[in-house]
Amino acid sequence: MVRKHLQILSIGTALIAGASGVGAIAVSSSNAGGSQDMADAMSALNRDATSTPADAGLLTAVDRAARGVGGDASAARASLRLLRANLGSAKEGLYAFSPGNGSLCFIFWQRAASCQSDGPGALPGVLFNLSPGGAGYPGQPDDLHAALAGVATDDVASVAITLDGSSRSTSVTDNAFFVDLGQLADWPSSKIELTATYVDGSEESVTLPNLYS
Amino acid sequence: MIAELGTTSSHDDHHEQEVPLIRTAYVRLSRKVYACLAVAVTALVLPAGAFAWYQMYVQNHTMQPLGFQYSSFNSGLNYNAVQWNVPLAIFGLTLCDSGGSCYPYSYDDGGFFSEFRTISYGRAKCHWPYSNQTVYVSFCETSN
Repeated sequence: MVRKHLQILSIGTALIAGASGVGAIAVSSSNAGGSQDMADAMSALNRDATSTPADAGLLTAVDRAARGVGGDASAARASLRLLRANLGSAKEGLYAFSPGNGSLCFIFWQRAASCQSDGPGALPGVLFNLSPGGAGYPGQPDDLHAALAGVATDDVASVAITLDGSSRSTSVTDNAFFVDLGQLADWPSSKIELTATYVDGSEESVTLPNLYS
Repeated sequence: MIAELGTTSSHDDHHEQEVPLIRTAYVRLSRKVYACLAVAVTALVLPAGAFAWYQMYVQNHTMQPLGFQYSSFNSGLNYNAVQWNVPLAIFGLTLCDSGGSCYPYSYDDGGFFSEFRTISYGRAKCHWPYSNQTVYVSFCETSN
């Protein structure tokens, strides 16, 4: 389950050029382990942003996440980059940033913010959020789809989620991934497995505890 | 009326000089009216307790297998967060109404996780979904 050598990788170039508000980010660098490594892998966080995000709510979320991991809010804001825009039917955005203390964070706006601050996550090189959708999300309909979203380092080729034997896979693009999971009520049960496939052909999987039954 | 408000001009042919005075008087009156209105609207619209509220409802706590904790009830909750220290694991957050109904959990594997769902009145909940191990939780916190 745990990859022997937590290679966190070399993420070449990429990332977006994107749309709304913030500049492109590329992830790169080399190797090993936990949060420091993932943050180090985000070398493009130091690139100049092409513009500044205007959404005050997003910046507040960045500040809070930075404080939540004992980081610096101004460093977090300065490193904020849009990885993917217009995800799914709700046209959501996925951002990444580093609050300056080695942590790597992403925001799946406006669903969740996540930071890897203390050791590796459930899958090496992958940081994810499993959002149930439904009611309660600001500015979204009550039937908002469930989604798996997150960021991955350059050696992660794809991420798959298996729900009761039915698998949905997505390639990692611009160091980010997103899987539309439809309505949570449509899931036959809640046995969930996540699999990361790496560029060298290896795979790592984790079975999540019984989440929604 | 204008004189009472401080007009000093009495020349009928200086109409253009009166315009600024009229405007000045009007502005003075408007400021008073707006100030009163602002106070009245604030008093009427904002109920007690409507200002920002924050609660750290778990702090430095070892949570048992399948453990969970609730915050206090409050209105307009729009932030819920957790920090925990078990690598290779996920954590769940949700909001619940006063009737005990909760949104489905949102799960994350980062170590720090916040979510932005809202609830008009209710309480926040953080949940450790593993049945075979404990977890050290630095904090669960919520605010409106």
